[in-house]
Amino acid sequence: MKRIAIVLVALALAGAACGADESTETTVAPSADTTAAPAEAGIRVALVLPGEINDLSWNQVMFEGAEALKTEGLISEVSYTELVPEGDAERAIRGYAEDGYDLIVAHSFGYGETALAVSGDFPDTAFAWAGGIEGQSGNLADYAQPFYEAYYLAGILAGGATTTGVLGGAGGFDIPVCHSMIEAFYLGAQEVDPAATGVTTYVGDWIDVVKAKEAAAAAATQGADVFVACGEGPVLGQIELANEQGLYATSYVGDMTSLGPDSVLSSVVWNTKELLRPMIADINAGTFSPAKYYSVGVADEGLIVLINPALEGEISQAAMDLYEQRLQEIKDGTFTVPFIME
Amino acid sequence: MIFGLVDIVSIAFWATLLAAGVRLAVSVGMAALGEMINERAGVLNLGLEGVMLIAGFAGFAASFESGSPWLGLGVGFIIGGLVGALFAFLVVILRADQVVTGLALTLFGIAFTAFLNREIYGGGSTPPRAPKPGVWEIPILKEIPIVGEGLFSQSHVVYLAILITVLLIVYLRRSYWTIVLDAVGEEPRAADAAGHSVVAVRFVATVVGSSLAGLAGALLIVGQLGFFNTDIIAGRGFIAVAIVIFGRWRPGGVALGALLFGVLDALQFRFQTLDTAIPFEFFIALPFAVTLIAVAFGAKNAREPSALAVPFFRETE
Repeated sequence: MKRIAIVLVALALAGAACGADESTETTVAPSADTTAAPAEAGIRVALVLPGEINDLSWNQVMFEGAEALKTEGLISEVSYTELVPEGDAERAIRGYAEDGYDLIVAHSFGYGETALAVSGDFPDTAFAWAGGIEGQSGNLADYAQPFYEAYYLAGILAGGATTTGVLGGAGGFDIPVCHSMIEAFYLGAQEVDPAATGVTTYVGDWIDVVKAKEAAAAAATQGADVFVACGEGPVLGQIELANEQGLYATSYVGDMTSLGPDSVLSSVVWNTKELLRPMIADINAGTFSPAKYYSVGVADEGLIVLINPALEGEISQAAMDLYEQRLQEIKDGTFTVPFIME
Repeated sequence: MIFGLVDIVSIAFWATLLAAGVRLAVSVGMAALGEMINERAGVLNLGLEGVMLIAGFAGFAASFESGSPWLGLGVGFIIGGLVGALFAFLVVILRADQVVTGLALTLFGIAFTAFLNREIYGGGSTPPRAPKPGVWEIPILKEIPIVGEGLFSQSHVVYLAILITVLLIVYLRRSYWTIVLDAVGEEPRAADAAGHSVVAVRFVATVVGSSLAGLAGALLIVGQLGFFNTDIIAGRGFIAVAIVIFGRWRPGGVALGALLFGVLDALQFRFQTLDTAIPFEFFIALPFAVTLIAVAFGAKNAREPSALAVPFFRETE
């Protein structure tokens, strides 16, 4: 009897743990979609995605980047499979390789081992993986997510909009991409308001909006009035709370102005068009392999900050001026945003 | 000093803590009450998460199309019962393995609702929004220190959940059907000999329990969020199963367990916002750790229904 009870608790904890991983929980049957174009000079690109192409975030920006390059003629065809669980990634990645795609993008950290294994079987195909850890190997490239650079700029804007001097940061878990972008956000704000402080919570889940909203509420009781989030659940929870309590939020790597026209102060957009461009140039030049670590940040417009026009007036002029100055300095290479891991 | 003591002793800290804890407890608690009814009849429903998603999505659709969140909650309750009837048909009448069937229902629910949401509402992070029920601030009572904000200044759905919980506690304590329910879950052969149809009682109990689970999904999606997103229940169906054990299959215990879990979650977020040297993982694990410890030590005295997850064969027994 007791044994069953213990098994059930283990299941409950396993369920909670599954919910914690952005890329393993959803199990929708992959629905391949193809937007064919007349065969031109461009290459054929396949995207393997952990989420949906209209998530206003991680997945949508990758799809839109590829589509933009199709418009430019660098890509002739974009295929994609959504909501691919880690355990099912091989079917999608190998399937595209067998279909002869030129570039296959494994757009989740969790696809790493699978992408590495499949890439070994298809040496003439170019693979790219969202590892962000310089894990390139053979014909498998790795690409960075230097979000912290853009969130520093968004932090400057937040510093010019906060009235309490308290910023609320949240992530699913404390991973380097999340930690560095939240800390950079606080640093940016402190350039405008040296007394500004940050209150960080980790939700323990990448998708749970209700929990994330309560985490944001806890930060709000500590005075937080401008939020920044890493992950879909955390950002949706923050925007919900900001909408209810009249506070400000920041998008997570896509334009989320539509979710909070009066609350999303700025959106950081991952402009993957500029990330895919050098990969395609290498493929066309025959120099893709041995694969590189592609790190495309603010300086190369791999990341863009969009200020919500409706809220621009809420940001102090000093902050706007500093924002413009730092943006220019990053592009000129005269200013480097600190990458903080601790 | 590890915690900012000033924050901890302030009344506002505890007041908002309880309010947040109640909000976090509502959905998982209602699901746990539903699971408790299933289990007391001898049916283990690990499809709870799937029921919550399917019924919650149906409730959202009804709420969005009609503009009435109350209709959405009602639809969630009814669809929960219908999905429960399907589950009961499989495990009570066809005697399919309850664990496997339940987990299959959960996996199906995640995929099916993501598919429907995409087909009907476009899916992704930009779904349409349905109106949420209002907030009811009860005069005078809401001024009570500490508990006022948590219990008397909440969304309508919180009062609905509390009302249903109280009714269940009262009804299950006194009613004739409680005895029949427990007889079927404990000694199905005796219940059968006494003239009660074990299959019928289990079927009805599964439908009723799943209705409450469906309502639980709707409480979260229709009542607290007003929009649907893929996998939005995020594991609450499984936590509810643990809370049933924690509450020792009694409605009062289950309700308290859900409240404790919610308050601990709210508390750990508040601890995270204070300036401490303790790693955040400790706080995230806190509600789970407390539940695990309580179950491990409480299990000695707790007794699950004897016939839990055991199919009933009348002729051969």
